[in-house]
Amino acid sequence: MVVSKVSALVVCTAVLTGCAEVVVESDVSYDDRFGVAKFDTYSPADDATSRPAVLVIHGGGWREGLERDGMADHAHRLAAAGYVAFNLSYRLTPSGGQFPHAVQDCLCALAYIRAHASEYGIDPARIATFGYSAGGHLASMLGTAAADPIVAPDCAAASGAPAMPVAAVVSGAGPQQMTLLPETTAVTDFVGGTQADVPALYAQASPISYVAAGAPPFLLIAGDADWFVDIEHARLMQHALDDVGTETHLLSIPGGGHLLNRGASGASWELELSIDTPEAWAATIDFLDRTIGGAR
Amino acid sequence: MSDPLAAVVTAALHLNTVSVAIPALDGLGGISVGYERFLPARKLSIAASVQLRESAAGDYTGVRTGTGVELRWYWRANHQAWLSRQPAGSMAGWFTGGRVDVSFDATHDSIDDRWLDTAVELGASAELGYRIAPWRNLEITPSWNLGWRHEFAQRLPGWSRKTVGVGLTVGWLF
Repeated sequence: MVVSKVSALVVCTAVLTGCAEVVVESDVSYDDRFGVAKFDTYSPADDATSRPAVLVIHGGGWREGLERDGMADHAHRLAAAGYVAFNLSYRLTPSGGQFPHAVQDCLCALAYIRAHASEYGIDPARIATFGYSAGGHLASMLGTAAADPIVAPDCAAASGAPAMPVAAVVSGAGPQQMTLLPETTAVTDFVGGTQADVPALYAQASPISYVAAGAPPFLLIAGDADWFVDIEHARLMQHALDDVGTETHLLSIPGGGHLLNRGASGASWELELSIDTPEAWAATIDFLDRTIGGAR
Repeated sequence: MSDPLAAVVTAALHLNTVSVAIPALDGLGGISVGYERFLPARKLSIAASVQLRESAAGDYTGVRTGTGVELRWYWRANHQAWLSRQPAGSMAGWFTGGRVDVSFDATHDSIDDRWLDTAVELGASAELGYRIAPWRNLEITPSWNLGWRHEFAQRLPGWSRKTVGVGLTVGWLF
């Protein structure tokens, strides 16, 4: 395990609301085989141990273009709220990120973090995932499919043992049933073909396929005007989780889109994720406090 | 105004407009209504708006309320605007402006019947727009904005971010 560059920065979250100190450690490698397999940690600037942690997973259609930088502000805010946040990168298409590799990478990061829990001052049993779009899909997979052999990680950190699922999942606009997605190149490149070509892979790549009793609590966030990932994904997932007795919450953003939502004025469409809205943040932090909790 | 001709022209101008923001109507869960007053001698206008919308559904309910004010400069107001039936000197055509907004978001957990965090958002933005008045007193105003937003919340620390957006209002000049 290589820490290629470590920078410990103490920064303030907001001038207007006082200063919450967050320590940032950059470019921690969780799997030496792949250069992209790195994360940044955002930790509250205290000496507490056994803190809850959140694995932050960026979106971007599982393909090259967007990186974890896009979730840095989210990780920072979670850390300022008392959680240790790990903002991770994973392999993307066309450079090795095809299913199940991206899922395996996230599970490797989870295994690495658990193995180093004492170094990060976290409780390995209280780790949640928080992702958006493709990241929401991967966050869900870590909640439902972590122990399945199909996505079993083969990295050193995982040591060949079945992965334990995370303790809670926040999935923003996450595809849950892959057959509901339009067959864009982003989808077919990730799954490995069209639905007609590889129907079994579409089922294997769907978080909903693995729902079983004992699944962790889910918070599903979706805009009801999302043209990319229809809110039906979240509704189906909620029904499936309800059926096995899992605590599930669905936050629907009325008129909310995948990348366009209303700003403070309410009078324009702004480039904004649905998880960035104040109501999404309110539901997210409440859900995390109640499930992996004790962050205050 | 000392010039009698100018006084007649000014009298013919429509100095007010009321409008609704189309993005606020999207999803049929809210409304944003604005009023704008033109000061033709300075090519300036002052606008204000109020919004009310449903902000959360599913296992949650939420309501957002807010208000904003804007100062606009129609720097080419002396020219006849493209696609506009209003005379030169009207508040039509290109404008730029500065806007500040404040909004309040209250979110309720419907399953457990309890209120979650209430957030206050402050926004400031610079705006560029073009108003057309293609038929009678109807006005249609697309705009583009760059801004900054800060969210205050109870449980969470404050959060600032840059914003980029597009707006569209439809209104009536009078």
